[in-house]
Amino acid sequence: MAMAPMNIGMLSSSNQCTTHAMSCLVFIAVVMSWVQNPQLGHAQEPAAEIRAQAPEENGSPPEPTVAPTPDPWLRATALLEKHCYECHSPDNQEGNLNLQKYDTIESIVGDRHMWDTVRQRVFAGEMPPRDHEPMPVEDRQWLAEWVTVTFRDIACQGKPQPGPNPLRRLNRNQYSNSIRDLLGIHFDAGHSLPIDGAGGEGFDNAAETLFLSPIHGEKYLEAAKEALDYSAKDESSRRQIFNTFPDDKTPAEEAAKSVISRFAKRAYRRPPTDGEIEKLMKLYRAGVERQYTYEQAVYYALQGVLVSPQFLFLTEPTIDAAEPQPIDAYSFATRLSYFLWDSTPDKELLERAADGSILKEEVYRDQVVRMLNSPKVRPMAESFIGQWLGTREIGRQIKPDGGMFPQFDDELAAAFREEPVLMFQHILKENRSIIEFVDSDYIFVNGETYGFYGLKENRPENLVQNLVRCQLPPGHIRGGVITMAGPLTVSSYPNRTSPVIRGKWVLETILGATPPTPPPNVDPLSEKPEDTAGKTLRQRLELHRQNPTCASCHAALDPIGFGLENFDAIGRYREKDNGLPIDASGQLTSGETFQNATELKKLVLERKDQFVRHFTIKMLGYGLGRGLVDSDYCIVDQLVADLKQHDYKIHRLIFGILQSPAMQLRPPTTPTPPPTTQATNP
Amino acid sequence: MNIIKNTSLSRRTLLRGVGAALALPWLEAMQVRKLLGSEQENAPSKAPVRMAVLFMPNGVPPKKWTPEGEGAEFKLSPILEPLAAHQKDILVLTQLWNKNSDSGDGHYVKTAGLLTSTTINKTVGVDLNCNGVSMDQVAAQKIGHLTPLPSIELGIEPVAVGIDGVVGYTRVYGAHIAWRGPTSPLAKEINPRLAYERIVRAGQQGGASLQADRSVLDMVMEDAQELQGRLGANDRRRVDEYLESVRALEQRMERLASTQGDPWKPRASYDGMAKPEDAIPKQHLEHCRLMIDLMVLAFQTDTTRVATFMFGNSVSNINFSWLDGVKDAHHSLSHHQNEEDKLRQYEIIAKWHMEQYAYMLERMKSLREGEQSLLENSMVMFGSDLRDGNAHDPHNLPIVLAGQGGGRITTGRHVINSRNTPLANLYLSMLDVMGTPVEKFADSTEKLALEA
Repeated sequence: MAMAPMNIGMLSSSNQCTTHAMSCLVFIAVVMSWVQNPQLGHAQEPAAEIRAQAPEENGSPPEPTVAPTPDPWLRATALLEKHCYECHSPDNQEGNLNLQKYDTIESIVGDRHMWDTVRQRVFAGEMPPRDHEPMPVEDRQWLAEWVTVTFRDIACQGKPQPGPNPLRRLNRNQYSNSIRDLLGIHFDAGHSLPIDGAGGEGFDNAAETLFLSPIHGEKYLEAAKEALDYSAKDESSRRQIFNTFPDDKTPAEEAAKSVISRFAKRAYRRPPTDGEIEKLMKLYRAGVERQYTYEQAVYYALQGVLVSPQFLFLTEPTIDAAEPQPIDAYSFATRLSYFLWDSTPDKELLERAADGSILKEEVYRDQVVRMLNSPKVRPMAESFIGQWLGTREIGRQIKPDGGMFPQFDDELAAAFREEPVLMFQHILKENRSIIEFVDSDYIFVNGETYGFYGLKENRPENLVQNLVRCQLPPGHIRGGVITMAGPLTVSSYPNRTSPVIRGKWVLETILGATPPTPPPNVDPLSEKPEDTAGKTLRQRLELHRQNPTCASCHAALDPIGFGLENFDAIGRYREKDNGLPIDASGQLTSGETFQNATELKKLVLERKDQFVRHFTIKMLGYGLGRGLVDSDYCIVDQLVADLKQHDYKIHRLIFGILQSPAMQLRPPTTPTPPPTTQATNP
Repeated sequence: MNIIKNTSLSRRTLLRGVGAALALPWLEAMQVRKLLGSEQENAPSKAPVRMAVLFMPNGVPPKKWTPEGEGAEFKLSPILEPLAAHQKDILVLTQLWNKNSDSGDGHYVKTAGLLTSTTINKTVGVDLNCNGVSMDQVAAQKIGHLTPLPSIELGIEPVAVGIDGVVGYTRVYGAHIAWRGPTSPLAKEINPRLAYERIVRAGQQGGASLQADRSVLDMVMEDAQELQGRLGANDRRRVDEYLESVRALEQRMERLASTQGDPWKPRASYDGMAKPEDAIPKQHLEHCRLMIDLMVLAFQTDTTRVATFMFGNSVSNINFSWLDGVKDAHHSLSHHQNEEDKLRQYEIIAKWHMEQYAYMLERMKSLREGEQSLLENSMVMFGSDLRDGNAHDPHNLPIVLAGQGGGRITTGRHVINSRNTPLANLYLSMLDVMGTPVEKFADSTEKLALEA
């Protein structure tokens, strides 16, 4: 794949796309060889794996070192013929589906929805049905991935596409942060709003899952009143809002209009229209009629601003066009601000939007650096990392057993949540390599976790409650998120470790490979005293794996977890389990072996391209506030290639995301077909 | 680098600024007005029927659930033991199943589909759809206009973080049993104090602040309608949802302000419950009890007639090791793998839930509404979306219905239905008792007989 600097135009090179499909398949094969089985195409062989890691240069496909890949199309149609055509034929059309009619890639691409269903049902093992000859699991996975890759590949061939641009409501955090900035108050205005769930790439800022319930209207009204009440009682907040007061020269109405327009501009993130101002002035006048004082009447109008959909939704002007259009300056400033600050654009961003300069690369790059150096980056850091790693819920939904871990108190929980946030902020601020998330020679500790981590050297001065950076001695087992106490706690049961969950956590969270679901009615991992006596957890799990059904998945999951067995359920280092010495060695399905967590981390590092790709997907999904679609994966490929050339520096990733068609363009406003919201139950 | 303190936000500690504090006139609505003592006499004589659904995640140990015997002569099972004092007020319903939830994954499909009896879309977000309306909302949509709040949704756990990539569902599904429409789950309140304030506020909105609020809402409606015109269909739906929530609030205000006809009045004083503390209780028991008290308060005052409550979300792993004899968390133990020790703990947890149910029934029985008790005028369903948590099976679900529904339910029985009787049949009957009948509900085949 070419290493051209990021720009919109380069995504359309058709030459790349043929290699894209190839490298994607290889990539998947590499992940899959870790996950479950070594039979996906031929690409799982070690040579192919090395090939996938090797830098690709000048856009030419890498030289195959083993026999050439059979044409994926031929393999796919052969599988379909063998397992599917019998029922899904022109004559039978079971389930109203004739698979034989799809005789070219184009015909498949034209029926995206149907093929998504095919992919899902085959992957889940629902098809072929039980009473037919089963499709081997490796073929099922291969076929499912082939469908995915085919769609992504086609999406990269046309003009660069921005992907969908669904209307986003401010989530609870964004609401609180925006009000904080608008009113200049330190008050969590969103505390009484319902908690938002996550969608898309796993974040609660995803447009898809930001639904509204009847309770929201009421809550927004009360929250606005409460916040304005707080502001009215806070001298500096009042000063921030009231830039004008009525006097001899300025009639009250004129002063009010000035204050209200200025506030509405910041709240709506663009200049309000005359009509919008008039509506707010109507409220002001109604207040005056009710005998409110000048300030009371203005606050009353501001209440209108804070419950207006123009504030609560990130609206962008619509354009009637058949082709994607460049984004306008105000919308871009807003996207940038909610991406990096999880909050409303500040004065400077709005000024850069007003003169249109924010759209210039050199201007927004400067702004990004300014924003990343501001303390306002913290809510984003907290939100992104806490949801990516799952550490946000430590001490809340994730609570180790108090009886077994009495030392796990609120302070320790707070430190566990805080550590990855600070690491992320550190990487952002100093423009460091994202590879440090996998392995770093420093960690962040406070007075409590310094001892908890068993550190003896480089104790930072005045170490109390706040976490500070601490240099690790060479070869130390900690460093990076995999051996951080928070993630190790998240991937444990309240009362014991779980090599299975830890293995799954590393695969899913770090390498972006989701293992398949366990088959129903699996044999249990016995916890009877007679079965647990004299055995470590590892030995018991190994017994469990003697069952071949279980072995296929656990061979990929458990070894990774075994490598982390030197850490107990709250991430403390230990050398014994159940009184017996811990064996933290293991072998991956690829055949590579390791002796302990440090060596395991090295093997993960050798797969850094997978990590980089996964991290990129997460960051892009967060930045866009929605789940990724086919065309976004073209952007992901570009971003990954670009990062590789720039030492994986995080600013490069952020610039790249901002520069991508998904951020720079808006999709055409073709009328969307109404969703199937017809209730089917009554 | 230090923890940055200056961006942290205080919660409710209102900072009184130095200098002249400005009072905002419309804030009077936030203070709870003392009610006059005359509502009781003014209350209409015929008490309405109320309906609550209490959801327990993770199923039950199957061998410890079903009572022995059938009809009026039945012996409570070990889990149902805490209901001994209310045996005459319950209907244990055996062999009901929720057919359309028998697919997808082990939990989310079952939870989100419990009250809709539909199959939800498999998605991490894009086409979130339960393909139906939940049974409680069918009732709320028909009688909700008679009370300040059409329904209340309460729970304990917030939506779990992230999506469940392994099974391919957003966890939003697992946090909602009430669905106003196919794409509109109803957000639930988990903070007792906030839920309390909402209930009290809803019943007491009035005066000058009401007029002020209405002007603001009018403006919002105009803004939203204007915005609608510029959006694609999907986005329009989102703004529509907001518009509806504003409209509902406006209508409520209108009704409360109305002096015509038979305006709504609370059937009892809101003093029946003390205002809960600001923070969410740390103890699970206290948290659940407060939520139950809130449902009782809302029913007793007639602030709403429809309520749902989730003891936990789908796959809930609340740690119950504070219960005698329990060492682990709920979901972990539900995968008991037929080991005696785990089954015993799993049973203790199920039984604990039954104690909370009994507490609610007790409270409702103690409240008089003329000749009857509040319980006699209500239906309180308790259920889980699974039978055995170890098998993720929606056959023969654990379902109990308590209360006489205004005299239309013959309680004190164990009814063994024929195998695979649709749970939706029960919903058909419950909607009938609510006075909000429908012809058919999802896979319903006929009404389940609730009278002996």
